[in-house]
Amino acid sequence: MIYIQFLLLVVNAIMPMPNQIIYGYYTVRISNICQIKFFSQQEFPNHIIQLLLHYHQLITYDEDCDFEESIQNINIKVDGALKFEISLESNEQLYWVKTTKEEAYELNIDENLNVRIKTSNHWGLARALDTVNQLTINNQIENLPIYINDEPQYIHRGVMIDTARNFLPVKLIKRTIDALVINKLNVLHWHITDDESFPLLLTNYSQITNNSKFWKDGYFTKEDIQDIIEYASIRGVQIIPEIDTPAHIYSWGRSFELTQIIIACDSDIQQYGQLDPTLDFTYEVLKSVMQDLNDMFAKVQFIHFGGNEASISCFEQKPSIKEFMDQNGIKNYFDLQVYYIGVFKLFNKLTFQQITYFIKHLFLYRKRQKDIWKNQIKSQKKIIYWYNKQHQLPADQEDIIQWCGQSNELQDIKLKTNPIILSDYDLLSLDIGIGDSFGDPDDFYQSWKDVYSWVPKLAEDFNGQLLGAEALLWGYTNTRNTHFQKLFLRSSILGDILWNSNSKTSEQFWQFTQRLSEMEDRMNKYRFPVSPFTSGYCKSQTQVCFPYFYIIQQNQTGKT
Amino acid sequence: MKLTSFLYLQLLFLVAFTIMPMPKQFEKGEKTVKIQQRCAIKFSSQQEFPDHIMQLLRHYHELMTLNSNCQFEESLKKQNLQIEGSLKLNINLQSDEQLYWVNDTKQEAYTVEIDEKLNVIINAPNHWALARAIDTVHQLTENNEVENLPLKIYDEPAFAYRGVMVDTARHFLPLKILERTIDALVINKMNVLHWHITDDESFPLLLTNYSQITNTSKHWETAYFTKSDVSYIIEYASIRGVQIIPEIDSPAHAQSWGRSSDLAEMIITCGSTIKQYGQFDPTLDLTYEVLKSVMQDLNDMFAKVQFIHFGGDEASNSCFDQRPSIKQFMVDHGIATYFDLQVYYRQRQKDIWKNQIKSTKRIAYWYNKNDQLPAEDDDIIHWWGLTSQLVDVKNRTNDFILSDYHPLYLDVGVGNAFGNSYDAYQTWKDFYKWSPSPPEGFKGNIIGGEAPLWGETNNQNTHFQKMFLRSSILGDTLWNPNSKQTEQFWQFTQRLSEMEDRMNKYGFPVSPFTHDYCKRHTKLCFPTLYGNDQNNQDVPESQSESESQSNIILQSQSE
Repeated sequence: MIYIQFLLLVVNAIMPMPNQIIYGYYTVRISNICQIKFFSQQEFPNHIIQLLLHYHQLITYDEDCDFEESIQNINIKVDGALKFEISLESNEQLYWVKTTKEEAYELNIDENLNVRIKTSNHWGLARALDTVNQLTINNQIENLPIYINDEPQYIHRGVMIDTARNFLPVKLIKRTIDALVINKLNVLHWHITDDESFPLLLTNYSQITNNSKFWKDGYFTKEDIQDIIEYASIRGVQIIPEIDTPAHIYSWGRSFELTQIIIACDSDIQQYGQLDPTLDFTYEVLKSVMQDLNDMFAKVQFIHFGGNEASISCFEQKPSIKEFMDQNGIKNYFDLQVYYIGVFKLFNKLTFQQITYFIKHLFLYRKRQKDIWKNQIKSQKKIIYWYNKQHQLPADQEDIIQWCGQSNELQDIKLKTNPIILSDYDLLSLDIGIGDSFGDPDDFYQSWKDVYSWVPKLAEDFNGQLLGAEALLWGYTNTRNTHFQKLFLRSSILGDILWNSNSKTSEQFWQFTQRLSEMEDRMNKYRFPVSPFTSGYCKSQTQVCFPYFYIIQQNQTGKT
Repeated sequence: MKLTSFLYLQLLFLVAFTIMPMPKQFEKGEKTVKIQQRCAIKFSSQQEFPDHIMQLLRHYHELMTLNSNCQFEESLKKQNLQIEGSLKLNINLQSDEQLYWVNDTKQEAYTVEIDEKLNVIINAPNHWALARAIDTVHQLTENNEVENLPLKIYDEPAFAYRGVMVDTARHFLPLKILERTIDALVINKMNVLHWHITDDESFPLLLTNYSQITNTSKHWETAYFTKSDVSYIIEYASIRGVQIIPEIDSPAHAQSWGRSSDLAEMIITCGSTIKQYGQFDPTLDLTYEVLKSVMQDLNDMFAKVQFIHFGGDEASNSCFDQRPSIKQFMVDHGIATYFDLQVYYRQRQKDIWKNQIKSTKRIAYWYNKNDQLPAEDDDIIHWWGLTSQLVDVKNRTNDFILSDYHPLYLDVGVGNAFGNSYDAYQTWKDFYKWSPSPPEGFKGNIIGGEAPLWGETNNQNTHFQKMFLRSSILGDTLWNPNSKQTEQFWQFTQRLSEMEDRMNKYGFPVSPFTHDYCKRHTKLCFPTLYGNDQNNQDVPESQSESESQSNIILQSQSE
């Protein structure tokens, strides 16, 4: 009796937790692990072969099994081996999915280790294979027969990485994708450039890259991009590239001929810059960069244009900017003006006129940027912008807003009908709390329990679509040495919530930590150097160390 | 011509100042010589090298010729001693004896002279100082050339005790990680590895008579240390000039001792919802019987260490309250308070150590503002309060080790074992600001400092990231506390930046201290000493480079 209490069935230790599980009581050994077979009515196209190869490596880890053998349609009935029968509605290779249904899957495993997977495409297949891999522990499967019916709650489940503050090599980005996949996360938002560097090799303005890269090979080529997008697509992960403007662009102006497009912001540290929105040359460079972006990232769905943290005082560094009159002025921005005046008057002592200039410039910039994107480059890709309480320019209906404000400011979102991605600054920032790039204190560290307490919920009057969320790993003090330690296990918890936010209300806290503990083991097994979430003792004694129910805790701390 | 020499001076300045920690005194020339033949490096001496010195040389030979596949044996041959374009180290030691610790900063003092022909003359009292000297030579020569020749360095640490603490009880750390930790200490000229072996959570040291303590508490099958592991690590450390200080904490932090049924009685499980903390019942004979056996093991296994750390921190009154029989014992023995009970325990523990086991090893105990049992003169006080709080122990004349919980605790600020927030993270700048300067009138003897890395949320994935570069800064401060007064802040960060590169080069996954842009633009990003938040009077705001260089030389000469 006591033993049963302390045991969490393997089927209940899956992370994220499937929607529906029905299981029996047989345990079957996988005595012929290398005899694993993948079978389908049709031939597997190459991208699915690659996905199967990836999970073949994970399922047969350290066993040195031959993958070629496993896709030959002979000996399909071998005993003691997993035999996959895969039914896909579509064999098409996808670079993103648009509905949660496309990642839904049905899974049956019987006592003879026949594994039947029914799903719509290779993204759903990736999720199903991951569930099977999690069920296959120590070369056996418990609780057979098993039926699982699963579908994610949110379509957008991701992390953001930053290759501008510290360069991250292609290999590390691929490993990050591998880590996402075993957490059923499906978005890698790639903040490529910033003030500090522009590590993407451009066609016409390669000097931007060459003058700002940190070392000789510290940049990405067109081939690198394609390699990464393909690698991600095979595993059911979409890449979202971000080139942030008009702020965060000091790196664009380091060559002599481009200095003029940058206004270097006044600070002790000549490190921050903004594009000069009044020069035609700015838009000439911008157009070329965006053309490159559209070409290199042909196979992505969204482009992130950043658009955050432009500052009035930086624009004012350049006196000519004040004289510039907005010829194409937006007629009706009075509401916005009032709003901005409210916000900025609180923080800075700015005049009405200063704020007017600021808004006009930002407006104009965004308008011209979009015109280039849609009408000149003719890109179909939707655009994502950063938003928080202070920065909320009007957006077109189809623009996606990524919220990086505080959790308690969600009611202050002005755009009530746009699609939204949540990246709450307080709970979903993975870099904060351990000092900034100057060694000064920087906010509070968000523990794994803070991420656990995060709820994907918007204000009542919000009518847009909540796509999902991303945890942000800004790169100020992150290198490959600390990358996985900062990303995980906190991102695993975000993935768990976004896949199935009900699971934490229907399990006890110790059961959640038990699942987390097994995810930690799994990630270590696959050589991801994640941060431990607790001591070795509590990890093996989750019921002793984590006795409380989540709901009770929530009430105690007054969170809802 | 004038302009050229001015620029040259600037360059000189940059190069010489990137050593970490900064040597105490040096004289520099103006020549730069390339090391064209890295593999032709030679180590020679008037005497034969004994084995422990051979091993030290082999270690640094590996670092100095990394990825070059050079033969160490060749570098010991006495032929071709005058080969051009290669380093020729001539080593003069006063003593060949192998040491497991040193207590006098003189024992780590050394001189290094390098001439334009790359002859390197090292004078040192013993192999510990030799390790420091070779590290300096290594730092000066890592870019395949040596600048400022001819060069003379005289160096000596300010403090004899420069360490870190690791915790193998909350998470087990394999032997390999301990080895690598020692390697990392050595290239920072640090010389102490304090090893908090056991705690409530586990007792990963295999005991002779009470192996059930280990076996019932270890985190996995092979997660413990044997006697031969211990001997191996002590030897490994000694060769590199690092002393090991083992800690077995009692009477609190001892829940792991009582997991087997025959020993359960000696542990009081402290009343918390989480049955995880325990302390000794100091009234039972069983307790002292077990303690004596464990301490005998400790004295045998750690025969070659100078100090034993007995912990002694955080015994709780409410935990003693859990067991009513203790009150009766106290009445019977005239023990008035739990404080006195702790004194009683400590006396009996000491009696076993000194009179029964007859160990001559000195004992270290944790102390802070709230935790202060009487101490004997010989005891070492390991202070985990703030240095400013030493005012509370003004009259103690003991040896002190400083481990201020702010800023020297490496583990705080990233949540505790339960995922709850736990204190504020101590940044590398917080470490930089720390100095081992006791309050006025303090009578103790500060032997040095130590940065503890408690293991609740640390395992091998996060070990080097949490430990460095913050410990590098502590090492810098303890070796030469004056260096930061005579250099500008950006010069310090430049040295730190190069230490980061060095540690990455040798495969230590340290946390970056800033981003790549600031790392390459230290002068731009770190223009003022302590940032804007602190007025520091010690250093003039804008010194020209050549001025501050001459300050260094003047200061060194006046010392």
